[in-house]
Amino acid sequence: MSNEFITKLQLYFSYPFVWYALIVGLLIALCSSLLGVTLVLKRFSYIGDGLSHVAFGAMAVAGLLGLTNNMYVVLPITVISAVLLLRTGQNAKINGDAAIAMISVGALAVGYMLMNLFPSSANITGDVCTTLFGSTSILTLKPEDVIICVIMSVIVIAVFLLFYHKIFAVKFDENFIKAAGVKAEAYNLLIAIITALIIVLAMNLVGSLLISALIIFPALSAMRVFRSFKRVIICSAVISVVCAGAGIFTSIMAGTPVGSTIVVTDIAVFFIFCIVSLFTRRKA
Amino acid sequence: MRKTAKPAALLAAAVLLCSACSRQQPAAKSPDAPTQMINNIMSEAAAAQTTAAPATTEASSGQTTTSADTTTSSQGNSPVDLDLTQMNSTMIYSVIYDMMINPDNYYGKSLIVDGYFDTMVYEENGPRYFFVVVPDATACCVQGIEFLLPDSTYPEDYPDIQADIRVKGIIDRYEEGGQMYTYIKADSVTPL
Repeated sequence: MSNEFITKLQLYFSYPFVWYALIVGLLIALCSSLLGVTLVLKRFSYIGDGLSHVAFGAMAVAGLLGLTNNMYVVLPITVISAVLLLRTGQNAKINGDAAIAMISVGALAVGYMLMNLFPSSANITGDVCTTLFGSTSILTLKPEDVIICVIMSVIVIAVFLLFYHKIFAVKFDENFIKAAGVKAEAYNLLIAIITALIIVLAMNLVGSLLISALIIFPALSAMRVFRSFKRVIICSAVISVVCAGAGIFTSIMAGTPVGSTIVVTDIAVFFIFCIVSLFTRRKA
Repeated sequence: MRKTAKPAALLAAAVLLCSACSRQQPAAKSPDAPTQMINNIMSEAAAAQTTAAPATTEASSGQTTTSADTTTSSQGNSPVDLDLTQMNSTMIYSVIYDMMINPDNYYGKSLIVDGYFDTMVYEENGPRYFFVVVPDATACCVQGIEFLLPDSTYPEDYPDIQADIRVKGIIDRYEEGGQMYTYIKADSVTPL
């Protein structure tokens, strides 16, 4: 039994695309977890969901334009939407959650309509399924996709490390940091752009409907047990990477859908951390 | 094996058969559906450098290979380079996709794959194409690879459309119109 398992494992990992999936999956998980803590603390957990729907609409536009690499369309549209969402969220006329809901469902509807009116392939249902749930797209990456993902991940991690203290300050007391002369809007803009980058990257991994789970679950799990920002960030990153690795591994070995397997693993870890937190709080 | 001249659309579509969501979809059985499907996926398939196999025609003659015969041969103990029957649906789908994207890594290798049978005709009285189609884990996407069973006649030597089949053969290619095309040169096609 174990020999059979090891043989199968060796066979599967002899394919380069399995390694590509693992590399990209772990990088995306790391990036999304770093950002996840920030978004959860800022009560912007749902922005990921809204932006992913925007990305879905943008992919439909890219398909309409017949672009082989839809990144050129999806990324700018998602970044612009992220900036607009952030600014609209500060507008009293439209509340932040209403703006997210409006753009989210609007983009979803427009995207689906475009896909149906101007299908880029006969497999509309498959296209929609792949975009929404990731399907097996993480296992169909090419080397150039991996390179793009590595570059973007390095940018995200570098920005986060460089501006760690500023991001920390913006999250906890935006008014104070403004009074101190720091341009909080600029950092909010930076966070919005990074969020958009991660959303576009993560669409390959879990699909647009499940991206929010990748962003919020590791952060929420870490917050069950740890209290300091730094510890929560580190724990969140570890949880996210481990869950993504375990999810991809399980999916490859058991034949389950990649995206949902990763998210189910995240959910399981969240409940484990909830139980752990009961004991740690009692001790405290 | 007769290589027929055919438009690039047909060639491109022949292998990467991205049919609609489920195998129960009625359109897949419609006589017009294959043509429409080919036209629609032409650009996508060409961009993905997908490949196609030479088709056989319904008028092909010669000694036919019955299912019973092929079943026996497919149960042989000869070693196989790529036994996709031992993989789960996620990996089968991914390997076939990789086969289409990086065909050079697979040419000349023997292969066994399970899937369901589908066939299409691009134009009236034109060549008929045969596919083994594999759905992914979510069952919303399918990956198809064309096979050619030499010396066979349709429909006598082929299973019902959407019947589960096992195809055993060698991954082969040919060049036409400046493009390389990949298909399974089938030794046997066995209903499961």
